[in-house]
Amino acid sequence: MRKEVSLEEVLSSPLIAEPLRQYEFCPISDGSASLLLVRDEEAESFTDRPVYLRGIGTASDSSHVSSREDILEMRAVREAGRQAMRQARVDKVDFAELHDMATILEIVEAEALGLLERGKGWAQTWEGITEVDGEMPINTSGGLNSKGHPIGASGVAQAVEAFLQIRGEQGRGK
Amino acid sequence: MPDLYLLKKILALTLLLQSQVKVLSRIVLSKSMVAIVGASLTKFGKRSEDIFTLTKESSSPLVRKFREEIDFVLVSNSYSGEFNSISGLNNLVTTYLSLDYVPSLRVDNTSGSGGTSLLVAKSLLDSRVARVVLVIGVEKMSTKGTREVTSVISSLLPPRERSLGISVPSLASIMTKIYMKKYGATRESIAQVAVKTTGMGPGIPTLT
Repeated sequence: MRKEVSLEEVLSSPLIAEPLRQYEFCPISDGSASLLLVRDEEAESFTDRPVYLRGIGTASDSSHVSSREDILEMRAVREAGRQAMRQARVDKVDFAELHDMATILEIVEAEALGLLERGKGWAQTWEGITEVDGEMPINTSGGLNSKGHPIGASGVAQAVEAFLQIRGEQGRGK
Repeated sequence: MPDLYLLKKILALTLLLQSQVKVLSRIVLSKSMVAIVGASLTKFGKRSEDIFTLTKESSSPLVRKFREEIDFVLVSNSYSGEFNSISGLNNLVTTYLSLDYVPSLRVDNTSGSGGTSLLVAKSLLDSRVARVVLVIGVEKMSTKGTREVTSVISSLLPPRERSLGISVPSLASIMTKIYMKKYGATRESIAQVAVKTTGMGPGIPTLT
């Protein structure tokens, strides 16, 4: 885990790719996360508080980033999110775990999913909407930005965070 | 005087229909919903343990409890070949966990591997190929230096763009510049994401 950093510390950390600095990228990391899944009819014989997967979406985009019409559009994120929300029959979520490999990605992904307003995600972030006590908490796990990004483990760990949050167990006893 | 025979018939038919609706709804539901019934993870960061020890650390609370039930293992991992010189990771992991006879699959979709593992787990359950799926996500990256890790990861870019010197961090930088220009975003607001996320993490209160 990366320790808590101030705005001054982020902006004075070593420059990696202009204008982004070291603390704006996820650190190289090792780690593992595990989940156990069963069909819903059996779930309660495994635990008294199962967390149901009500929607799951999948989408892709061109590997040639230069072929994308708008680099900020995040078409695959938008489409996968839309599918998941449609299946789950919800139009609003209580919190989200997003792939913040770099700081900018949290903002553009949240905009693509409709969690933040397009073009205003930066201002909403600044206002604190995505904080744990904000209107739309994002990356309560600390995100890849603070946890690190052990690539194959990261997505599974995001589901672990959602599992703990939904069961009301995050932060307990730590 | 009501026709008792007819009433009995109607009652029997209603019960039959009800049971069929129940069976049908169970099939429909089981096709559309699976559940996570257990979850566990290791600390992330620079770890001295090898990749197998990490998989054991995260999965052991689940394996200890449900060893006899697990009938499929998915290992979400992208770079065991590049970072750890290991192939066939899923089979090696099941053997390491003494789940030798449980079939397994390695799911690699780069940063999307974990999410794709959930999709594959759901497909295995929906199709009734499996009943209880253990998903283990793992990556051991600190075996290499930053420059080498960046180079390995940038191999996910198509050769045409990679040959121009584009890397994953440089794409994020281009995205930031375009975003700031297009929407008039301040530099501080982008950096604020890092301030916020480092203030979260284990130990933060549960959302209410």
